[in-house]
Amino acid sequence: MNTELVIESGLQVIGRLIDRPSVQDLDNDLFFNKLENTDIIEIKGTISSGVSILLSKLIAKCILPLQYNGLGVEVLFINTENQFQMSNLYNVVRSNVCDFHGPINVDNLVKEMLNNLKIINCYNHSQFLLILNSLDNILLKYKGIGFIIVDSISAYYWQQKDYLSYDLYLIKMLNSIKKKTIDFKVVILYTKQFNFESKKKTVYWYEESKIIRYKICLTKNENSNELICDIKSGNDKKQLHYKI
Amino acid sequence: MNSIDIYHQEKEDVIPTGIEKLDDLLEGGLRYKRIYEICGSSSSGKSQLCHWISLHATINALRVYYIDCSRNFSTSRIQMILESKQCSDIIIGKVMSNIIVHQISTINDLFTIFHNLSKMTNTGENELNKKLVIVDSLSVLCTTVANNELNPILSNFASVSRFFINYFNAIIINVNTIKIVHKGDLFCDKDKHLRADMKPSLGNYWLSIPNIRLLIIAIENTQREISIWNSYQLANGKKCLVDIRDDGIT
Repeated sequence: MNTELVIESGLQVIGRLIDRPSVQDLDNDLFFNKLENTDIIEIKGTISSGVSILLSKLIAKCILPLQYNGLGVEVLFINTENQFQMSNLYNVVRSNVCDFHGPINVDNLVKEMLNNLKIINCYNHSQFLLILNSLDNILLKYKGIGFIIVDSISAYYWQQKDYLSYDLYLIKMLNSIKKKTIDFKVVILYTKQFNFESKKKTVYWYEESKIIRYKICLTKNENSNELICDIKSGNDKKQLHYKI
Repeated sequence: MNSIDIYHQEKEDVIPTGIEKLDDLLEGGLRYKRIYEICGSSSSGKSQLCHWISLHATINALRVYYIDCSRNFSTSRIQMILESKQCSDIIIGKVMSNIIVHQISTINDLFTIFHNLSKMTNTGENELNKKLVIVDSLSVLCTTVANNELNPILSNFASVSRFFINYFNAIIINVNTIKIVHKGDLFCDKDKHLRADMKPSLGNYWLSIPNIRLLIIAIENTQREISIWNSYQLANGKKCLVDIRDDGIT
Protein backbone atom coordinates (compact mmCIF):
# COMPACT_ATOMS: atom_id res chain seq x y z
CA MET A 1 0.00 0.00 0.00
CA ASN A 2 1.17 3.46 -0.79
CA THR A 3 1.63 5.29 2.48
CA GLU A 4 2.83 8.51 0.99
CA LEU A 5 0.66 11.41 1.94
CA VAL A 6 -0.72 13.35 -0.99
CA ILE A 7 -1.75 16.89 -0.37
CA GLU A 8 -3.63 18.61 -3.09
CA SER A 9 -4.82 22.16 -3.34
CA GLY A 10 -8.37 22.86 -4.40
CA LEU A 11 -7.05 24.23 -7.66
CA GLN A 12 -5.20 21.03 -8.35
CA VAL A 13 -8.28 18.95 -7.71
CA ILE A 14 -10.35 21.01 -10.10
CA GLY A 15 -7.57 21.01 -12.66
CA ARG A 16 -7.38 17.25 -12.40
CA LEU A 17 -11.11 16.75 -12.53
CA ILE A 18 -11.87 19.00 -15.48
CA ASP A 19 -11.36 16.77 -18.42
CA ARG A 20 -9.38 18.63 -21.04
CA PRO A 21 -9.80 17.37 -24.57
CA SER A 22 -6.86 15.42 -25.89
CA VAL A 23 -4.55 16.82 -28.54
CA GLN A 24 -2.74 13.58 -29.20
CA ASP A 25 -3.58 13.44 -32.91
CA LEU A 26 -2.61 17.01 -33.68
CA ASP A 27 -0.03 16.20 -36.30
CA ASN A 28 1.64 12.85 -36.47
CA ASP A 29 4.27 13.98 -38.95
CA LEU A 30 5.53 16.82 -36.81
CA PHE A 31 5.10 15.21 -33.45
CA PHE A 32 6.49 11.82 -34.32
CA ASN A 33 7.13 10.82 -30.72
CA LYS A 34 3.53 11.26 -29.68
CA LEU A 35 2.16 14.34 -28.06
CA GLU A 36 1.19 14.34 -24.40
CA ASN A 37 -1.26 16.82 -22.99
CA THR A 38 1.40 18.56 -20.92
CA ASP A 39 4.10 19.03 -23.52
CA ILE A 40 5.92 22.19 -24.51
CA ILE A 41 6.68 22.85 -28.16
CA GLU A 42 9.06 25.42 -29.56
CA ILE A 43 8.81 26.78 -33.09
CA LYS A 44 11.22 29.16 -34.71
CA GLY A 45 11.76 30.05 -38.31
CA THR A 46 13.28 32.53 -40.68
CA ILE A 47 11.01 35.18 -42.11
CA SER A 48 8.78 33.81 -44.86
CA SER A 49 9.54 30.21 -43.95
CA GLY A 50 5.89 29.72 -43.13
CA VAL A 51 5.72 29.87 -39.34
CA SER A 52 2.41 31.72 -39.39
CA ILE A 53 0.99 29.26 -41.92
CA LEU A 54 2.03 26.37 -39.71
CA LEU A 55 0.38 28.04 -36.73
CA SER A 56 -2.83 28.57 -38.70
CA LYS A 57 -2.85 24.91 -39.69
CA LEU A 58 -2.35 23.71 -36.14
CA ILE A 59 -5.00 26.06 -34.79
CA ALA A 60 -7.43 24.98 -37.52
CA LYS A 61 -6.86 21.32 -36.68
CA CYS A 62 -7.55 22.07 -33.03
CA ILE A 63 -10.69 24.14 -33.38
CA LEU A 64 -12.40 22.01 -35.99
CA PRO A 65 -15.00 19.78 -34.35
CA LEU A 66 -14.50 16.01 -34.31
CA GLN A 67 -16.91 15.35 -37.19
CA TYR A 68 -14.75 17.51 -39.44
CA ASN A 69 -11.62 15.56 -38.71
CA GLY A 70 -10.52 18.09 -36.12
CA LEU A 71 -9.91 17.79 -32.41
CA GLY A 72 -12.60 20.05 -30.98
CA VAL A 73 -10.13 21.76 -28.69
CA GLU A 74 -10.32 25.43 -27.81
CA VAL A 75 -7.15 27.41 -28.34
CA LEU A 76 -5.79 30.34 -26.36
CA PHE A 77 -3.63 32.61 -28.46
CA ILE A 78 -1.42 35.15 -26.71
CA ASN A 79 -0.67 37.68 -29.41
CA THR A 80 2.43 39.68 -28.58
CA GLU A 81 3.79 40.30 -32.05
CA ASN A 82 0.67 41.31 -33.92
CA GLN A 83 1.68 39.09 -36.83
CA PHE A 84 -1.26 36.74 -36.71
CA GLN A 85 -3.73 37.04 -39.55
CA MET A 86 -7.26 35.92 -38.95
CA SER A 87 -8.17 35.73 -42.63
CA ASN A 88 -5.46 33.11 -43.08
CA LEU A 89 -6.99 30.92 -40.42
CA TYR A 90 -10.44 31.54 -41.81
CA ASN A 91 -9.37 30.25 -45.21
CA VAL A 92 -7.76 27.13 -43.77
CA VAL A 93 -10.83 26.30 -41.68
CA ARG A 94 -13.12 27.09 -44.58
CA SER A 95 -11.33 24.81 -47.01
CA ASN A 96 -11.47 22.01 -44.44
CA VAL A 97 -15.20 22.43 -43.98
CA CYS A 98 -15.72 22.65 -47.73
CA ASP A 99 -14.11 19.24 -48.15
CA PHE A 100 -16.97 17.80 -46.17
CA HIS A 101 -19.91 19.92 -47.18
CA GLY A 102 -19.19 21.39 -50.52
CA PRO A 103 -19.13 25.17 -50.62
CA ILE A 104 -22.70 25.74 -49.47
CA ASN A 105 -23.53 27.82 -46.42
CA VAL A 106 -20.17 27.23 -44.89
CA ASP A 107 -19.50 30.79 -43.78
CA ASN A 108 -21.71 30.76 -40.71
CA LEU A 109 -20.40 27.37 -39.73
CA VAL A 110 -16.82 28.57 -39.99
CA LYS A 111 -17.57 31.66 -37.95
CA GLU A 112 -18.99 29.50 -35.23
CA MET A 113 -15.81 27.45 -35.19
CA LEU A 114 -13.66 30.56 -34.96
CA ASN A 115 -15.32 31.12 -31.60
CA ASN A 116 -13.14 28.30 -30.32
CA LEU A 117 -10.12 30.52 -30.66
CA LYS A 118 -9.56 32.98 -27.84
CA ILE A 119 -7.13 35.76 -28.51
CA ILE A 120 -5.39 37.95 -25.97
CA ASN A 121 -3.58 40.95 -27.38
CA CYS A 122 -0.61 42.03 -25.39
CA TYR A 123 1.41 45.22 -25.72
CA ASN A 124 4.21 45.34 -23.21
CA HIS A 125 6.31 43.34 -20.85
CA SER A 126 4.37 43.91 -17.64
CA GLN A 127 1.11 43.11 -19.37
CA PHE A 128 2.68 39.92 -20.66
CA LEU A 129 3.75 38.88 -17.18
CA LEU A 130 0.28 39.64 -15.90
CA ILE A 131 -1.28 37.41 -18.55
CA LEU A 132 1.12 34.57 -17.82
CA ASN A 133 0.37 34.83 -14.12
CA SER A 134 -3.37 34.72 -14.63
CA LEU A 135 -3.29 31.71 -16.93
CA ASP A 136 -4.73 29.48 -14.22
CA ASN A 137 -7.78 31.71 -13.88
CA ILE A 138 -8.26 31.83 -17.63
CA LEU A 139 -8.04 28.05 -17.85
CA LEU A 140 -10.56 27.63 -15.05
CA LYS A 141 -12.95 29.96 -16.82
CA TYR A 142 -12.64 28.39 -20.25
CA LYS A 143 -12.83 24.68 -19.68
CA GLY A 144 -12.42 23.71 -23.32
CA ILE A 145 -8.96 25.19 -23.74
CA GLY A 146 -6.41 22.50 -24.32
CA PHE A 147 -3.80 24.35 -26.32
CA ILE A 148 -1.97 27.57 -25.56
CA ILE A 149 0.02 29.44 -28.18
CA VAL A 150 2.40 32.27 -27.34
CA ASP A 151 3.49 34.18 -30.42
CA SER A 152 6.16 35.08 -29.58
CA ILE A 153 7.55 34.44 -26.14
CA SER A 154 10.54 36.72 -26.48
CA ALA A 155 8.81 39.76 -27.94
CA TYR A 156 9.55 41.83 -24.85
CA TYR A 157 13.02 40.57 -24.13
CA TRP A 158 14.40 44.03 -24.77
CA GLN A 159 11.97 45.68 -22.40
CA GLN A 160 12.88 43.77 -19.28
CA LYS A 161 14.92 45.59 -16.70
CA ASP A 162 16.75 42.58 -15.27
CA TYR A 163 19.18 42.26 -18.18
CA LEU A 164 18.90 38.51 -18.29
CA SER A 165 20.55 36.61 -21.10
CA TYR A 166 18.21 35.52 -23.87
CA ASP A 167 18.16 31.85 -22.90
CA LEU A 168 17.70 32.62 -19.24
CA TYR A 169 14.83 34.96 -20.04
CA LEU A 170 13.22 32.23 -22.09
CA ILE A 171 13.54 29.71 -19.29
CA LYS A 172 12.14 32.20 -16.82
CA MET A 173 9.08 32.83 -18.98
CA LEU A 174 8.59 29.12 -19.62
CA ASN A 175 8.81 28.35 -15.93
CA SER A 176 6.20 30.89 -15.04
CA ILE A 177 3.91 29.45 -17.70
CA LYS A 178 4.61 25.95 -16.48
CA LYS A 179 3.99 26.91 -12.87
CA LYS A 180 0.56 28.24 -13.70
CA THR A 181 -0.51 25.47 -16.03
CA ILE A 182 1.00 22.40 -14.41
CA ASP A 183 -2.32 21.38 -12.90
CA PHE A 184 -4.09 21.63 -16.21
CA LYS A 185 -3.60 19.26 -19.06
CA VAL A 186 -2.71 21.76 -21.74
CA VAL A 187 -0.12 21.79 -24.48
CA ILE A 188 1.98 24.93 -24.71
CA LEU A 189 3.41 26.09 -27.98
CA TYR A 190 5.60 29.14 -28.28
CA THR A 191 7.48 30.81 -31.06
CA LYS A 192 10.72 32.72 -30.71
CA GLN A 193 12.88 34.95 -32.81
CA PHE A 194 15.11 33.13 -35.19
CA ASN A 195 18.45 34.80 -34.95
CA PHE A 196 18.69 35.32 -31.24
CA GLU A 197 20.21 33.05 -28.69
CA SER A 198 22.79 33.34 -25.97
CA LYS A 199 26.28 32.70 -27.15
CA LYS A 200 27.32 30.53 -24.26
CA LYS A 201 25.63 27.19 -23.76
CA THR A 202 25.06 27.30 -20.05
CA VAL A 203 23.23 25.17 -17.53
CA TYR A 204 20.06 26.88 -18.60
CA TRP A 205 20.42 25.34 -21.96
CA TYR A 206 20.43 21.95 -20.31
CA GLU A 207 17.40 22.88 -18.27
CA GLU A 208 15.65 24.07 -21.38
CA SER A 209 16.27 20.82 -23.20
CA LYS A 210 14.64 19.04 -20.29
CA ILE A 211 11.34 20.93 -20.36
CA ILE A 212 10.86 21.31 -24.08
CA ARG A 213 9.46 18.26 -25.75
CA TYR A 214 9.67 19.31 -29.39
CA LYS A 215 11.84 21.89 -31.09
CA ILE A 216 10.80 22.77 -34.59
CA CYS A 217 12.96 24.92 -36.78
CA LEU A 218 11.82 26.12 -40.19
CA THR A 219 14.39 27.43 -42.61
CA LYS A 220 14.30 28.63 -46.15
CA ASN A 221 17.28 28.33 -48.42
CA GLU A 222 17.47 31.74 -50.13
CA ASN A 223 19.16 30.37 -53.23
CA SER A 224 17.15 27.26 -53.97
CA ASN A 225 13.90 28.36 -52.29
CA GLU A 226 13.87 24.98 -50.59
CA LEU A 227 11.95 24.78 -47.35
CA ILE A 228 13.26 22.54 -44.62
CA CYS A 229 11.73 21.67 -41.28
CA ASP A 230 14.00 20.25 -38.58
CA ILE A 231 12.35 18.59 -35.63
CA LYS A 232 14.15 17.65 -32.47
CA SER A 233 12.63 15.67 -29.67
CA GLY A 234 15.06 14.68 -26.98
CA ASN A 235 17.74 12.80 -28.86
CA ASP A 236 15.54 11.97 -31.83
CA LYS A 237 15.74 14.07 -34.94
CA LYS A 238 13.68 14.27 -38.05
CA GLN A 239 13.82 16.37 -41.17
CA LEU A 240 10.89 17.22 -43.40
CA HIS A 241 10.70 19.04 -46.70
CA TYR A 242 7.58 20.98 -47.35
CA LYS A 243 5.95 23.37 -49.74
CA ILE A 244 3.76 26.40 -49.17
CA MET B 1 -11.17 39.11 -27.87
CA ASN B 2 -13.70 37.77 -30.27
CA SER B 3 -12.08 36.11 -33.25
CA ILE B 4 -15.07 36.70 -35.51
CA ASP B 5 -14.94 40.48 -35.03
CA ILE B 6 -11.27 40.44 -35.85
CA TYR B 7 -11.98 38.50 -38.99
CA HIS B 8 -14.63 40.95 -40.16
CA GLN B 9 -12.40 43.91 -39.55
CA GLU B 10 -9.53 42.32 -41.37
CA LYS B 11 -11.67 41.63 -44.38
CA GLU B 12 -13.25 45.03 -44.78
CA ASP B 13 -10.64 47.49 -43.76
CA VAL B 14 -8.56 48.12 -46.82
CA ILE B 15 -7.61 51.43 -48.33
CA PRO B 16 -6.17 51.59 -51.83
CA THR B 17 -2.77 53.20 -52.30
CA GLY B 18 -3.80 54.82 -55.56
CA ILE B 19 -1.31 52.80 -57.53
CA GLU B 20 -3.09 49.92 -59.17
CA LYS B 21 -0.10 47.66 -59.48
CA LEU B 22 0.89 48.21 -55.88
CA ASP B 23 -2.65 47.46 -54.74
CA ASP B 24 -2.50 44.17 -56.59
CA LEU B 25 0.76 43.42 -54.87
CA LEU B 26 -0.73 44.17 -51.45
CA GLU B 27 -3.89 42.21 -52.22
CA GLY B 28 -6.17 45.21 -52.22
CA GLY B 29 -4.23 47.96 -50.55
CA LEU B 30 -3.10 49.03 -47.11
CA ARG B 31 -4.80 47.25 -44.27
CA TYR B 32 -5.69 48.72 -40.92
CA LYS B 33 -3.89 47.45 -37.85
CA ARG B 34 -0.75 46.75 -39.77
CA ILE B 35 2.73 48.18 -39.63
CA TYR B 36 4.29 48.69 -43.02
CA GLU B 37 7.84 49.47 -43.88
CA ILE B 38 9.22 50.96 -47.05
CA CYS B 39 12.88 50.20 -47.59
CA GLY B 40 15.15 51.60 -50.22
CA SER B 41 18.48 53.27 -50.78
CA SER B 42 18.65 57.05 -50.96
CA SER B 43 16.74 58.72 -53.80
CA SER B 44 15.00 55.48 -54.67
CA GLY B 45 11.65 57.21 -54.21
CA LYS B 46 10.66 56.25 -50.67
CA SER B 47 9.50 59.74 -49.76
CA GLN B 48 7.82 60.17 -53.13
CA LEU B 49 5.84 57.03 -52.45
CA CYS B 50 4.93 58.30 -48.99
CA HIS B 51 3.75 61.62 -50.42
CA TRP B 52 1.59 59.81 -52.91
CA ILE B 53 0.13 57.41 -50.38
CA SER B 54 -0.69 60.20 -47.91
CA LEU B 55 -2.31 62.26 -50.63
CA HIS B 56 -4.39 59.34 -51.69
CA ALA B 57 -5.33 58.45 -48.15
CA THR B 58 -6.85 61.89 -47.59
CA ILE B 59 -8.98 61.35 -50.65
CA ASN B 60 -10.19 58.18 -48.92
CA ALA B 61 -11.11 60.34 -45.93
CA LEU B 62 -8.26 59.38 -43.68
CA ARG B 63 -6.38 61.78 -41.50
CA VAL B 64 -2.69 61.57 -42.25
CA TYR B 65 0.03 62.31 -39.74
CA TYR B 66 3.26 62.80 -41.58
CA ILE B 67 6.14 62.63 -39.14
CA ASP B 68 8.97 64.27 -40.99
CA CYS B 69 12.38 63.62 -39.54
CA SER B 70 14.59 64.83 -42.33
CA ARG B 71 12.68 67.87 -43.58
CA ASN B 72 11.62 65.92 -46.61
CA PHE B 73 7.97 66.80 -46.76
CA SER B 74 7.12 69.13 -49.57
CA THR B 75 3.73 70.76 -49.88
CA SER B 76 4.59 72.04 -53.32
CA ARG B 77 5.03 68.48 -54.50
CA ILE B 78 1.51 67.64 -53.37
CA GLN B 79 0.18 70.80 -54.93
CA MET B 80 1.95 69.92 -58.16
CA ILE B 81 0.33 66.50 -58.32
CA LEU B 82 -3.11 67.86 -57.55
CA GLU B 83 -2.83 70.69 -60.03
CA SER B 84 -1.74 68.41 -62.80
CA LYS B 85 -4.91 66.43 -62.10
CA GLN B 86 -6.83 69.72 -62.47
CA CYS B 87 -8.19 69.71 -58.96
CA SER B 88 -9.92 72.81 -57.68
CA ASP B 89 -8.47 74.95 -54.90
CA ILE B 90 -11.11 73.64 -52.54
CA ILE B 91 -9.96 70.07 -52.98
CA ILE B 92 -6.33 71.09 -52.66
CA GLY B 93 -7.19 72.88 -49.43
CA LYS B 94 -9.06 69.87 -48.15
CA VAL B 95 -6.21 67.50 -48.91
CA MET B 96 -3.67 69.83 -47.32
CA SER B 97 -5.69 70.33 -44.17
CA ASN B 98 -5.97 66.59 -43.66
CA ILE B 99 -2.24 66.02 -43.80
CA ILE B 100 -0.73 67.05 -40.53
CA VAL B 101 3.02 67.37 -40.60
CA HIS B 102 5.18 67.07 -37.51
CA GLN B 103 8.79 67.99 -37.94
CA ILE B 104 10.90 66.28 -35.33
CA SER B 105 14.54 65.53 -34.78
CA THR B 106 14.90 63.01 -31.95
CA ILE B 107 13.40 59.63 -31.18
CA ASN B 108 11.91 61.02 -27.96
CA ASP B 109 9.80 63.41 -29.99
CA LEU B 110 8.40 60.42 -31.81
CA PHE B 111 7.19 58.88 -28.57
CA THR B 112 5.71 62.22 -27.53
CA ILE B 113 3.78 62.44 -30.78
CA PHE B 114 2.35 58.95 -30.41
CA HIS B 115 1.50 59.73 -26.82
CA ASN B 116 -0.39 62.85 -27.86
CA LEU B 117 -2.11 61.09 -30.71
CA SER B 118 -3.44 58.39 -28.44
CA LYS B 119 -4.74 60.98 -26.00
CA MET B 120 -6.99 62.45 -28.64
CA THR B 121 -10.53 61.28 -28.26
CA ASN B 122 -11.59 58.61 -30.64
CA THR B 123 -15.29 58.46 -31.31
CA GLY B 124 -15.00 55.48 -33.57
CA GLU B 125 -17.69 55.98 -36.18
CA ASN B 126 -16.33 59.08 -37.85
CA GLU B 127 -14.25 58.13 -40.86
CA LEU B 128 -11.78 60.91 -40.19
CA ASN B 129 -10.79 59.20 -36.99
CA LYS B 130 -9.07 56.56 -39.00
CA LYS B 131 -5.46 57.46 -39.07
CA LEU B 132 -2.45 56.88 -41.21
CA VAL B 133 0.87 57.66 -39.60
CA ILE B 134 3.97 57.94 -41.75
CA VAL B 135 7.37 58.04 -40.10
CA ASP B 136 9.87 59.36 -42.62
CA SER B 137 12.27 58.07 -41.68
CA LEU B 138 12.83 55.91 -38.65
CA SER B 139 16.42 55.15 -39.51
CA VAL B 140 17.28 58.87 -39.43
CA LEU B 141 15.94 59.11 -35.89
CA CYS B 142 17.91 56.09 -34.83
CA THR B 143 21.27 57.28 -36.07
CA THR B 144 21.77 59.25 -32.90
CA VAL B 145 20.89 56.33 -30.64
CA ALA B 146 23.75 54.46 -29.03
CA ASN B 147 24.11 50.89 -30.21
CA ASN B 148 23.32 49.20 -26.93
CA GLU B 149 20.20 51.33 -26.51
CA LEU B 150 18.83 50.69 -29.96
CA ASN B 151 16.99 47.44 -29.31
CA PRO B 152 15.23 48.54 -26.12
CA ILE B 153 14.07 51.72 -27.85
CA LEU B 154 12.89 49.85 -30.92
CA SER B 155 11.14 47.34 -28.72
CA ASN B 156 9.31 50.13 -26.93
CA PHE B 157 8.47 51.76 -30.22
CA ALA B 158 7.12 48.44 -31.50
CA SER B 159 4.92 48.14 -28.42
CA VAL B 160 3.63 51.68 -28.77
CA SER B 161 2.97 51.16 -32.47
CA ARG B 162 1.09 47.92 -31.94
CA PHE B 163 -1.02 49.41 -29.22
CA PHE B 164 -1.74 52.46 -31.35
CA ILE B 165 -2.77 50.61 -34.50
CA ASN B 166 -5.02 48.21 -32.63
CA TYR B 167 -6.80 50.73 -30.47
CA PHE B 168 -7.19 53.50 -33.00
CA ASN B 169 -7.65 51.48 -36.12
CA ALA B 170 -4.61 53.04 -37.72
CA ILE B 171 -1.94 52.22 -40.23
CA ILE B 172 1.70 52.99 -39.63
CA ILE B 173 4.22 53.28 -42.43
CA ASN B 174 7.87 53.47 -41.47
CA VAL B 175 10.56 54.43 -43.88
CA ASN B 176 13.85 52.67 -43.51
CA THR B 177 17.09 52.62 -45.42
CA ILE B 178 18.95 49.55 -46.50
CA LYS B 179 22.47 48.53 -45.95
CA ILE B 180 24.51 46.36 -48.19
CA VAL B 181 26.14 43.36 -46.63
CA HIS B 182 28.96 41.84 -48.57
CA LYS B 183 29.20 38.15 -48.09
CA GLY B 184 32.32 36.41 -49.33
CA ASP B 185 33.34 37.29 -52.84
CA LEU B 186 33.02 40.94 -53.72
CA PHE B 187 33.54 40.34 -57.39
CA CYS B 188 30.64 38.02 -57.97
CA ASP B 189 27.97 38.76 -60.52
CA LYS B 190 26.49 41.87 -58.95
CA ASP B 191 22.96 41.96 -60.26
CA LYS B 192 22.26 38.37 -59.53
CA HIS B 193 23.22 38.46 -55.90
CA LEU B 194 22.32 42.02 -55.11
CA ARG B 195 19.09 41.24 -53.35
CA ALA B 196 20.55 38.63 -51.08
CA ASP B 197 23.21 41.11 -50.01
CA MET B 198 20.79 43.81 -48.92
CA LYS B 199 19.42 44.12 -45.45
CA PRO B 200 17.12 46.64 -43.83
CA SER B 201 18.95 48.88 -41.37
CA LEU B 202 18.10 48.99 -37.67
CA GLY B 203 19.44 45.53 -36.95
CA ASN B 204 18.15 42.03 -36.54
CA TYR B 205 15.59 42.79 -33.90
CA TRP B 206 13.66 45.14 -36.13
CA LEU B 207 13.56 42.57 -38.95
CA SER B 208 10.48 40.84 -37.63
CA ILE B 209 8.56 43.88 -36.37
CA PRO B 210 6.83 45.35 -39.46
CA ASN B 211 4.00 43.22 -40.77
CA ILE B 212 4.79 43.95 -44.38
CA ARG B 213 8.04 45.26 -45.76
CA LEU B 214 8.32 46.73 -49.23
CA LEU B 215 11.56 47.20 -51.07
CA ILE B 216 11.84 49.95 -53.65
CA ILE B 217 14.69 49.95 -56.15
CA ALA B 218 15.53 52.49 -58.82
CA ILE B 219 15.67 50.85 -62.23
CA GLU B 220 16.25 53.81 -64.52
CA ASN B 221 15.24 57.48 -64.73
CA THR B 222 11.68 57.36 -63.48
CA GLN B 223 11.13 53.63 -63.23
CA ARG B 224 11.05 51.97 -59.84
CA GLU B 225 10.60 48.37 -58.89
CA ILE B 226 8.58 47.68 -55.76
CA SER B 227 8.66 44.23 -54.27
CA ILE B 228 7.42 42.50 -51.17
CA TRP B 229 10.35 41.75 -48.99
CA ASN B 230 10.32 39.72 -45.81
CA SER B 231 6.66 39.62 -45.03
CA TYR B 232 4.98 37.07 -42.83
CA GLN B 233 1.69 37.61 -44.52
CA LEU B 234 2.09 38.04 -48.24
CA ALA B 235 4.00 36.02 -50.76
CA ASN B 236 7.57 37.19 -50.88
CA GLY B 237 9.39 38.37 -53.95
CA LYS B 238 6.31 39.45 -55.88
CA LYS B 239 7.11 42.68 -57.64
CA CYS B 240 5.75 45.42 -59.83
CA LEU B 241 7.13 48.31 -61.86
CA VAL B 242 5.92 51.83 -61.25
CA ASP B 243 6.66 55.13 -62.90
CA ILE B 244 7.33 58.24 -60.83
CA ARG B 245 6.45 61.33 -62.82
CA ASP B 246 5.50 64.93 -62.20
CA ASP B 247 1.83 64.16 -62.07
CA GLY B 248 2.10 61.26 -59.70
CA ILE B 249 2.92 57.57 -59.64
CA THR B 250 1.45 55.07 -62.05
